Order: sequence, then C-alpha cells, then structure tokens
Amino acid sequence: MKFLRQSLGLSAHFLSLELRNKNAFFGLLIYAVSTVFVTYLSTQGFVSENIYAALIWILLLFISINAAGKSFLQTNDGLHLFYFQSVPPNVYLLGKHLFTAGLVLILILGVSGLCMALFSPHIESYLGYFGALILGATGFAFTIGFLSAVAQTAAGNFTMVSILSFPVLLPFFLTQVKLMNLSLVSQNINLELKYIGILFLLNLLVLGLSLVLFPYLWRD
Amino acid sequence: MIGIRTISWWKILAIVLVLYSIIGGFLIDVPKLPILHETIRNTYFHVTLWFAMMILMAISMVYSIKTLSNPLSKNDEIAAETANIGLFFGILGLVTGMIWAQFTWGAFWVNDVKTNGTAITLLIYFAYLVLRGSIEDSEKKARISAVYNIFAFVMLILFLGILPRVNDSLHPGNGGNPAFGNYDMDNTMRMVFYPSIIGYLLLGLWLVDNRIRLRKINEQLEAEE
Repeated sequence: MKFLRQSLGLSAHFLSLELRNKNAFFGLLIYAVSTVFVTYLSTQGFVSENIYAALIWILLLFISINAAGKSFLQTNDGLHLFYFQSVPPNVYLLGKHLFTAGLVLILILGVSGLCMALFSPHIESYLGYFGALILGATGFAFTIGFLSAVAQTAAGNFTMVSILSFPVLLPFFLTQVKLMNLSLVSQNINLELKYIGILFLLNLLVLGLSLVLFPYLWRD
Repeated sequence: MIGIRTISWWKILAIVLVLYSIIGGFLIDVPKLPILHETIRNTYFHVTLWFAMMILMAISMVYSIKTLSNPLSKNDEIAAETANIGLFFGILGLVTGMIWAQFTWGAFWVNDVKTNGTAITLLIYFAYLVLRGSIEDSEKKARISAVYNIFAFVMLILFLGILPRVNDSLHPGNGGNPAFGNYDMDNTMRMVFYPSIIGYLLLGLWLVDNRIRLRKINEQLEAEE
C-alpha cells in the first residue's frame, strides 16, 4: 500500500512539473491535431472501416511515441541523482508509468474524438472501440516509457526510442487494430472480450517485466 | 594430425549431421502431397534453420539473465554472439522460405502471419545490435542490452503466439493447409528432420564459439598495441 501511495504521490509530482511547463503539452497537442488534420485532408474524409482502424492506430502510434518517448529523456543528471537518493526504483518507475499512462490516455481519447468528428465512422460496438483505445493507451505508455528509460541510459537521444519500441509495440498494435476493426463492423461481444483479455494480459506483462528489469537500468 | 586430435566430437557431429541432412534431404523419398510436391524438401533446411534460430535466441536470453545476475564479460559475449548467429540463421531461413514461397504461393513475399513474424523477429534483433553499437562502456553495454534482450524476447514469443489468433495463415500447418509437422510427415522424413535440427544447432554453436575466440584475439591484439 505504501508502495502504491508513494507512486501516486510521485506521479502527482510529475504532473505538477508538467503543468509548470505547459509548452511541452501544447506542443504535443498541436502536433496531434495537425497530423490528424493532414490525414483528413489527404483522404478527403472518405475511408472504409478497415482503413479507418489502421489509420487511427498509425496516428496514435506516432503521437504516443512522441508523448511517452520523452518521459525519461527529460530528466537531467542532477535531478536523476535526486530521485535516485529519495525513492526506490520501482516506485519511481510506477510513478512515471502512471503519469505517462494518464498523458497518453488524454491524448489518445482527444485524438480519437477528433477522428470520430472528422471521419464520422459507424461504430457498432462501443465496448470494443473504447476498450481498444483505453487498453491501447496504457500498453503504449508502459512499453514506450520503459524503452525510453533504456534509450536514455544508452544514448540519450530520441531516435533510439523509436528504433527500440516499434518492433516491440507490434503485438499491441495488431491486436488493437483487429479489435477496433471488429467493433466497427459487428457486435460480436465474445470475440471482443477475448481481444480485450489479450490486451489486458499484455498490459500486465509489460508492467511486470518493466518493474522487474528497471532496477538494472537505474544504477548509473 | 594435431589439428584433428584437438577438434571436439560435437564439431565433427555437426559436420556429419549437416552433410547427412543435405544429402539425405535431396535424395531420400518424400511423401507426395498436393500443392507441396517436391518443395516439401525445404522442411530440412528452412524449418530446421528456424528451429536452430529460436533455440539460439533462447540461449541468448538465458545468458542475458545471467549477465544481470552476474556481470561477467563472458556471459555478455555469449548473449551477443548467439544473437548474432541467430540473426544470421534467421536471414538464411527467410531466404529459403522466400524461395519456397515463390514456387508454392507464387510470390516471394505475401502478407502472411509467418512472413510478418519473421520480419518482426529480424527487426527486434537489428534493434538489439543498434543498441549495443550505441554504447561505448562495456559494462554498461552488457547491462542495458541484457535488459532489452529479455524484454524483447518475451514480447517476441507473445507476438508469435498472438499473431496466428489474430490473423489466418497460408503457411503449412495453419488454416487447414497440408502441414510439414504432425500427420503429414512420415517416418523417413523424421529420420532426416530431427538430426538436421541438431546438426544446424551444433553448427550455430560452433560459429558462436569461433566468434568469441575472434573477439578474444582482437582484444589481445588491441592490448598489445
């Protein structure tokens, strides 16, 4: 319990740091809106269901990488030393994860709202649609967040985050595209629940793996 | 004579088994199946290379875990070189698979679960090599690349497990196609197939052994300079 409370406190601290410097968040927002709008202009707004599912996830993939990829890169050496001395590594990681998941979730829900307004897709099942978005957001945030920690210790540049995370994100990506596609064409609750279950387990697995492995990255 | 006496038994076994799989693979009778016909002989090369690759990658992950618990440069070297040789086998497996696909599916690359899985596997391990290349300090390199190796291998296994459930496949053994494994492979095929897996695996380990020796020689030369 103490562990969770400390992590929550730390993520609130990250939130206040983010709010102190709003430029970064608004930069992300403008990036997200303009990529969606460019896609809308280039497709004229007419896309079939499976293209819509693919398009929205490609957009969300890039937006999440931009949002979550910076989560560890921003910390400079002095601040890092401060955290190192104040909290155990798992608390720090979970705090970062919670903060990044919240940030990515807000962005993903906002972007999908914009996409729904612009492309007006016909959604058959809201369970599958929002299940894919929410679990996808947390999965993306955990994976990219952890790999940005790897990239930060390795090279400290942003290119490394995308190189490391693209192949690893694909299990999430394909399951989400499939689930969203399903929710656009039919109301097959059982199949949707199966995919939601797969996504949930993937989330748990990434969370567990990153908590186990993070202490080894933390040392320097 | 000294050269022959010092060569280990498993290296000789590797040569014998690989030669056996090539000669036996091309000459021994195979069952006549629709669509596949003589291309079924690719089982002896493509499938065995992939088996050997997956085993090498698993060894690489085990040695990454060892590196984390006990940071010796030996553990890290084994992890890195098994991944290297596994990648090499993966590329060979991909090429043999593509040639096979051209003659049975009619194209070198089709949008299929198995081909995509291959591409992802190769991408993950190329990313691993890029990560290794970007770090100068050898202790740090060992630790960080071990973390990525473990994370990526688990995700890869999951990916290969999930993918067939999300999409259907043209590959033999999936979606009602004649399979190489299970019931379609008769006993004469097994007699070549299993020794062939062991042969390619031993060959891979031999290559790993040589690469590690090469590293040691290079380190020594650098130290002397």
